[in-house]
Amino acid sequence: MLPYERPIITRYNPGITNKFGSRVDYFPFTQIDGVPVKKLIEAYGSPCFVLSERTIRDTYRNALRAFSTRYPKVQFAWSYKTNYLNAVCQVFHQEGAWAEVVSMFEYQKAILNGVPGEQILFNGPDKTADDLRIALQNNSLIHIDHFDELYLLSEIVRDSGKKARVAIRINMDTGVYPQWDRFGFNYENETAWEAVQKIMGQPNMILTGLHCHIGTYMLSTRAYHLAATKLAQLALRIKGQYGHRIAYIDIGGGFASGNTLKGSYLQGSDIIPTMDDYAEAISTALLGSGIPTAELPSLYLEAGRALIDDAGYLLGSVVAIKRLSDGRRATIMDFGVNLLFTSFWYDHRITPAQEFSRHTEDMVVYGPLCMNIDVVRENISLPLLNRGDHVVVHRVGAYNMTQWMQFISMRPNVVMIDCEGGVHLVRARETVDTLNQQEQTPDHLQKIQ
Amino acid sequence: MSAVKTLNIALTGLNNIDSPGPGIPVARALRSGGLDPLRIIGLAYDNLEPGLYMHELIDRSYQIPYPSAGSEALFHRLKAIHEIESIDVVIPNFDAELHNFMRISDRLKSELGIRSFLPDHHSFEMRQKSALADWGEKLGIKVPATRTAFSWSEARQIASEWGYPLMVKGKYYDAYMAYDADQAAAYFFKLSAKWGLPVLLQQIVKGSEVNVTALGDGSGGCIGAVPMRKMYITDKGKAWAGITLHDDRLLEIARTAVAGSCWRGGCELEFIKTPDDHYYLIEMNPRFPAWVYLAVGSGQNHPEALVRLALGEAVEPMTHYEIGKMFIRYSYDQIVDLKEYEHINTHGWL
Amino acid sequence: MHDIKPPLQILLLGAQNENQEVKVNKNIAISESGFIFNPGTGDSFSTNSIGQEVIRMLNEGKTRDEITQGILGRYEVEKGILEKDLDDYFFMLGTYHIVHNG
Repeated sequence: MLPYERPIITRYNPGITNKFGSRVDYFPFTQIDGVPVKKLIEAYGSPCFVLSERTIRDTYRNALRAFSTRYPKVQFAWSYKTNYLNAVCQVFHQEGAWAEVVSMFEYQKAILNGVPGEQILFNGPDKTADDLRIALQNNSLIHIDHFDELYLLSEIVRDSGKKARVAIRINMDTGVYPQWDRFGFNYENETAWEAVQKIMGQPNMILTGLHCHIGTYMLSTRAYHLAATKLAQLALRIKGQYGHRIAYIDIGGGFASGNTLKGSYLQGSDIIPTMDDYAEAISTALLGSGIPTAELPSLYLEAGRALIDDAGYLLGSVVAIKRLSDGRRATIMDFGVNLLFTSFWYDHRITPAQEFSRHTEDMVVYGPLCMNIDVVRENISLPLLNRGDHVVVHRVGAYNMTQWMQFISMRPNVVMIDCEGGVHLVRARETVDTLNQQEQTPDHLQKIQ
Repeated sequence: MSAVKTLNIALTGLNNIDSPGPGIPVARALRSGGLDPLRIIGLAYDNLEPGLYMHELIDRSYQIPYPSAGSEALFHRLKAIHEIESIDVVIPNFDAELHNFMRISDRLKSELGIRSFLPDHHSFEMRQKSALADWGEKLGIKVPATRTAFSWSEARQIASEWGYPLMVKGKYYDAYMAYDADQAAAYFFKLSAKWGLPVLLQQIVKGSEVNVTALGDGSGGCIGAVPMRKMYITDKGKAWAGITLHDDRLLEIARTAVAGSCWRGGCELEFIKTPDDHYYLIEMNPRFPAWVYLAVGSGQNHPEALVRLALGEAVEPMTHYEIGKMFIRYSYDQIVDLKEYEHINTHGWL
Repeated sequence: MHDIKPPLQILLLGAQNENQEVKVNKNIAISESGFIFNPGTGDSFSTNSIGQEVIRMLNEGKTRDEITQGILGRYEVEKGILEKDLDDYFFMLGTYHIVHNG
């Protein structure tokens, strides 16, 4: 018996070949780190997230090498919000990364993962008085976002008798649009300097660091050069005015991953700067800032996306194939925006996990949700798929396993392939009980009648 | 008697239509040079690119994936074509594809032995539309004021500072003159939809348009440069006819630009010459212009020199060209058998 | 009244029409490479090898049912899936004016 392929007919439309619809893949993607996709789906179901421990470690080591070969004191802090599965965090912590958190929930995760309090950077605009007390108790690094937080912290330290190690988050013009001016204190209008003055006037606060985070998925290394230069200038000004040395400059993250942004003409992996490019821009700015070598601050980095995106895959299956009213092909997958939040801004690469012929179809890829917003790819050219065929979505390690929605269907299994090819379940699929155990139904609503 | 090895040159830009790509003029230049025996392999994105069917110029053609498919897809396709054709040199001729070709040029050479002669990433970037003004300032070359806008409100703000008319330009291609805010808005949205953000706004400089086609050796040397004034421009802004000029100052500025960028490969410099004899650089295109054959016709074969440079030969700079040579473009209806169209469609080569 | 036919695509859809005779329009040229040219409209198309087989069987005068059986006998495919795929293929052939109901 011959292998079956759907009969198709395609009309040639010269000149209007959609520039965004071109085919990218010529080979099926049948295994991840040597483990067959088919076996993974058999064992853990479809859809299923897969993480490659080897890719995480390789990516981290490459980033660390890029920075530490250029700058003497480098410390990474793992950005919990990007992916706070404990297994993922522990890989980074084993590699030497500290923790960077933006809520008490994340803070607690870091503590439970065994991260020492003084190795936690506490960011974010919403820290309660209790949060600040705990951070103070643990000697964590508190990154102050606004004056209200500064005043609140100042009251807390006054009562506690302890000294708080703080940094201020600074926003600035680095020629990047849109300018992220909602977080922290502005550099150009001297609000940041005002914050510095207030902190320097507080005997119980030690201004330890200066922090900025200029944006996300940044393609310009020049913006980082500018940001590092401005922070270094501020450090010099503080030194000049107060004789106080800033211990670290935290340049944040925002480094791009190889995903392709919607509307981008070229593939993301072709246009993003390498970790070496980012490292070169940042370290030359700091080394050339005029800060004496012996007094150079440590460089902290909170890269998230660029360290984890490549290590994550989403395996899924074709639910149905249909034709839309205008004749376009539509493919429905068993994963949608509920699991792939990033498909709102990326054109994710999707590769079939089994052999295919040279024929392709332009199609819309929908998720399984009974909601109109559930579109994974608006236009993609893929080989002919049949119901039940498996596909692999690439570069999904960042933000999807934290921003996923518990909407219409529950979250699937997440597995990690270790460096020896062993497969480990790192988060079990949710069931109806996962949701129901949180709920309480009043007595009079227990029964329908 | 040992046979002389045939030189296999692959090139893109076979879209010799009303807004022509440079591929066919480049092929014609190679044919009229001293590169014998020569085989020219066309690389096409669309199956209606006229060059596919010009068998007297192009020996065989292949489809290649669109630039948006990425450099990896391009490399795989070129590798497959190379296995059949043993390509010696590849000459990309589109702005939008250059990024990918530059990205894989080292691998093409080391893994497949395919040579190219392309600018490096740094020089490519410094002449990008958004960076041109800064770069011009460093070299002492005048560039009309240019600003980038990421939103229409930003663009409107800039326009109200400058007044109309002004040029609205796409990130990669296309430029329109806007005479009022309504036009500017329409162009802004059209260009941002086509090429993404930012959109560029450029102040108008009044004068005549003069262009230079040039070839840089990659270490600051200018191997050839021929200046031309467009005598008539089509409604698409393309030259219909042009004439070579005697203009030493223009050539000097062009050489400064080639030297200042250490340009490697062909390029086109577009200037406006004002009535009081100032030259404003409008754009530096990172490939030969479609009128490059005028340079050949006036005595400088830039495409042939590029191939020799790519092969590692020493090429003497060309300084002489005939002044007052003209080109007059014409269009021509090729008659093509359906069999040929079918073949490229179903087999991916012709 | 009997000569007023419903729209082509409706006739082609649905299992109850399995034995409806479908004919390839005259002058439709199909090459061995799967290239199809409709001289009436000037459109050209490509089809894959199984699509070619279907058109070949139509040209041989086979009914929809015979075509289904022919493919089931040679390819690894479930009948339900094949029926659905053939519905879609015949629908597209009709839309593109390559076949008509005999």
